[in-house]
Amino acid sequence: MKKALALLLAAAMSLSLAACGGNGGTSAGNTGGDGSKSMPGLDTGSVATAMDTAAESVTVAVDDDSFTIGPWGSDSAVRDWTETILWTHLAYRPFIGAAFEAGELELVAAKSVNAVDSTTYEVEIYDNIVDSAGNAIKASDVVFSYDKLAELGYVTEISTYYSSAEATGDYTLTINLKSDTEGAIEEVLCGCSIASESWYTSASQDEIEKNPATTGPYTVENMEIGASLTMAAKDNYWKTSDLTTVELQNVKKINLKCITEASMRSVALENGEVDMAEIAASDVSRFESGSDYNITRYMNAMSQYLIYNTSENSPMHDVNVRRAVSYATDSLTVMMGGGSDACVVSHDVAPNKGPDYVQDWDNQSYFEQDLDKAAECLAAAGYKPGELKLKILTSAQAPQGPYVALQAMLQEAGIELEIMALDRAARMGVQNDPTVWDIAEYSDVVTDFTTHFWSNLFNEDNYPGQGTQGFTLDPELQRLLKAAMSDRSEENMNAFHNYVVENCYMYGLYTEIRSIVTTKGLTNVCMQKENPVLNAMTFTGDYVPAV
Amino acid sequence: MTRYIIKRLLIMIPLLIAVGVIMYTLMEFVPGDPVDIVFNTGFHTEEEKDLMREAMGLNRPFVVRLGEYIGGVFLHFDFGTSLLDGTSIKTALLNRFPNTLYIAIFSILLTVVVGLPLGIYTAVHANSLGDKVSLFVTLLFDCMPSFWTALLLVLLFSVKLKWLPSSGNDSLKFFILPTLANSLGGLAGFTRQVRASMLEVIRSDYVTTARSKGLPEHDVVYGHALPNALIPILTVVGMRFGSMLGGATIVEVIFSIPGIGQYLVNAINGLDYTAATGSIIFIAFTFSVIMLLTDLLYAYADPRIKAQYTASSRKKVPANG
Repeated sequence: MKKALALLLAAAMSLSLAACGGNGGTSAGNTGGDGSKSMPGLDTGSVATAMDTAAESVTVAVDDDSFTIGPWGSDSAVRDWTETILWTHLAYRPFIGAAFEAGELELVAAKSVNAVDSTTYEVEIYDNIVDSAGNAIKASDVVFSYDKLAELGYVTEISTYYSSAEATGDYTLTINLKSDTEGAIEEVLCGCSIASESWYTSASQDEIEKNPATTGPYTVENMEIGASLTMAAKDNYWKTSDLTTVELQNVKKINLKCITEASMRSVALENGEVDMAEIAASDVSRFESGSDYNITRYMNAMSQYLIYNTSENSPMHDVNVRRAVSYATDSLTVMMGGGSDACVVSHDVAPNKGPDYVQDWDNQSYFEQDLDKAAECLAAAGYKPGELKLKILTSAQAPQGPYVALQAMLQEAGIELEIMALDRAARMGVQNDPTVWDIAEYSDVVTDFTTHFWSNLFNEDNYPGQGTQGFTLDPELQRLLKAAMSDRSEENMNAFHNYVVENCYMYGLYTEIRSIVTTKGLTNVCMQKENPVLNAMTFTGDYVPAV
Repeated sequence: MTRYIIKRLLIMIPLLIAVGVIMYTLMEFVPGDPVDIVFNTGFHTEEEKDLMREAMGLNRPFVVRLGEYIGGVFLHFDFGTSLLDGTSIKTALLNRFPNTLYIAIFSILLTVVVGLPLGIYTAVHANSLGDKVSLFVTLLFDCMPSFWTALLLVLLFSVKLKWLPSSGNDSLKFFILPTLANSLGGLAGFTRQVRASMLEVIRSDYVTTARSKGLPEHDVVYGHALPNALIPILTVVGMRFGSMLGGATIVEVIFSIPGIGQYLVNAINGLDYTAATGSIIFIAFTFSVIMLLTDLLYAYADPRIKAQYTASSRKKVPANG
């Protein structure tokens, strides 16, 4: 059902280009937060009449000041927002879980992709691709790009799935995967920016970082590292028809201003210094009254969960203790400890984002707070109220409010919780040590399937000798995980989900809902996956760009 | 004098090498694997990690890596690349330094232009109403944390009056509020330092003599008292300016100005050892240069010190030369 809905949405987008504004189109529609489904309670922009021509400029406040714009770089929020604008990829995945075999990928630089076998794919690229410096892109450049990214190791999925590529002609190549894991070809086709080998090998580091020869629909006009980035639409973009969403040029210039301090982004928006900004939940109410602003709400990429240390070194080794902690916890209160209640409470360790997530889980009971049950479980484990002392490992850089709230809730249930807030370095030193902590807060993102999210947490291959993130050595858990990964049938998904809930190995907390606020004439923030597609937003006739 | 400058510059070399060695060694003991930082997210096999470790040269002995790093920094001004994003640390520092320099220069100018006359006034009119009012006002700013001052300034000048931009570094106009936020807090300390230095000399015999000769009060204060009170004032100015060149982190973050301080904090938070080490060596270098310049200013402010420099240079000349 979800796949069908996703396919329908994708088809609607690619046919009319209206869902994200369209290039010179006349209407705009809505996309769901991640394109694949609509989430109850989330606004995703309003329908408005788009401008006939591209808007002059849009200025966007971003909260990250350490991003790079070269073809390959480490993961960052702004990089996610800009990479497809500046760099062409073989294909684009418009929503979480979009599959190659189902025809749900949007081909960008690739003209066609054909499977030779489960790990080999033949790709034909367009023969007229040029970068902003005029270098023609051939199959050898694509091979170079993939090999370079694999060598640099910035994109986990490329390191994990990409094996090799070989140019078989000027515009044809073969891509070999390391495994036939589901989702591998999608990650490989969509995960690598394509750049000219001759440009990259002759360019200086400064040129790569500030003035790269881009292959996407926009070029870099000005880059001040850590402060701002201005991207201008190319007049002569190499592709003129069959444009995908990420190739639209609905605005001539996109200015990004780095404003890391959340309150200053609100001030900049109110002052008319920017047209669009992600606003802290506590500030959103300032923009809700009146019609001067539009608010787009979406689920954040990162989902929070608690890892329980199931090794014999911890009292959490006892399933009753794990259950006691889970029943004593209210996810919404944990979230509110951070000053906001804008979240979707989890009903599995994974959030409701992947196409294989079983919707029925959201209707089932998932450790709703019940202090009586918590007390029963604590007694079953042999602890009297006040006897059990636990340690939670948290990141010092993150707000501690949620964990203070958790501490208070466990206190009420007769469990004493000590917060160990460590900086990143110290945390990395102890997080794989089963003798240091009992509970650890963590967050992860669903990039395609719920099973991949589970695999990151539970697959023993990722934790040699350790079992899982929570030191669980359980062959049945591994058997059920592998079954779900190889066949994501509802039966297999339910089997794993129920087994984890029954044994309470980890506890899903919540996924934060974030708000993007835009000025009056910017009516539709095109959201695909978890990111706005800045070049595909809808601007109406009364749009006045920020000065 | 030239000999003194050369001597000081030469002393800076082992000093900076020591900073580099200490920083690099300390970072070696920080928990966490640099390979994990490079890979940042996701899961990688031990084999992939070993390959990356080898590519980064981490499998070589510590002393070899330290030698290479120190050699790169001091012979080629090469701080290496960031573990987080692979960008050149030298480029990042040089790109950000002008912003930090602007804030530091404007802030120190504002501090001196306001604090010096205010300090002199409060010394000359010690315990008067003006002295007490200035003490109250400057201490008020001193008690306010710089982030709080910055937010109040933004609320007044950006949100209410709409005179100045709230963030960014597009033109000099963007540096007005950061400069105010950065200098108001330190004004009290500087003013009190000037006041204390002036009070010490203003009761000296030679100042009384100058007055008894019938010199105008202005000449007594500015011509006789101030030059003799300048040494501790110059020390404070030099120290403050040197510290500011290390980055006004809070101000840089609030006003979204990409400076050295922000870069260093990001590097520490992101566990970017190489960027943190490079930043600290760079800050140590700028601080050393500023302290050298401060020492040289002493000579111009106080002829006795200049005479000492000259005398020490002459001693080196052979008697029969």
